[in-house]
Amino acid sequence: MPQQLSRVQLLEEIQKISLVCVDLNLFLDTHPDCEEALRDFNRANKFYRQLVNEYQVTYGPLLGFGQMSTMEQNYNWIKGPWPWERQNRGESL
Amino acid sequence: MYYNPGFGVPTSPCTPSPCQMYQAPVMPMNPYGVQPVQSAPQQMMPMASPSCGCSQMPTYPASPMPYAAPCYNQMPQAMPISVEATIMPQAAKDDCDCQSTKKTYTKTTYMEAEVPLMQSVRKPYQTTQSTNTTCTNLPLAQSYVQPQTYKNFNDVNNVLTQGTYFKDLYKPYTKGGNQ
Repeated sequence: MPQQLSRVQLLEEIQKISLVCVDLNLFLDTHPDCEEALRDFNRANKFYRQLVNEYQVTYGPLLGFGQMSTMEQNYNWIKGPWPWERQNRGESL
Repeated sequence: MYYNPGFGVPTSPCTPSPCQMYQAPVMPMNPYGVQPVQSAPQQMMPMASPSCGCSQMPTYPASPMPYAAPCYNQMPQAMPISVEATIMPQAAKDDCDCQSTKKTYTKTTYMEAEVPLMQSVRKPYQTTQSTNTTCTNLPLAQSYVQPQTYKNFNDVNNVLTQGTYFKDLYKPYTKGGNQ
């Protein structure tokens, strides 16, 4: 089992894979028949979803709605740090 | 990196041909470039009346090009004015049966009698050929799109700092060019 990433580290990983997905998405818009690009896009997309799921299980929802299947016990969205709270902690994300 | 999704590993270009099947749309030639400009005056037909004075109106075939009515405001300054040539009088002679069509058209009579506005618009191009280049007398530009190939990937750890997953698209702005 890999070591646990901090919240900021995991967010950064999500952002990296997200940008890879965006670029591959754009490439496939003009090369819809490129099997290699499609394969990498599917892998990146799957990996992105894994990261997002791991983040949300560990640190709470990334968005207020649409990502978590349910808000299990209570309304977890409000428990995450707000942007100004992150800045006060010296976090970049 | 914590995760290893398998990205950032250089691979060969997509082969044999799926990526290559994409073809950028073929852009039509600029009708005001060197070659098309030679034939542009032929497509300015028909004229209002033949110079012979007869009442028979010559007709001319429609232009095969989509640039039948070139805008002379957009003509580059380097375009020689002689491209007007005398194609017009030859066509007029062929289409008119009267005997007085021996009169020769000239560029001047054509420009003044039939399209006076064109001549007035064109004059600045004739007189500014040796002057400084400005935004008003620059020749038209042509753009192109090079089909991208699936190769040269960035490492995933660099995509956020470089803003792209494709190395070929990483074009950092540097003041004054490459530094």
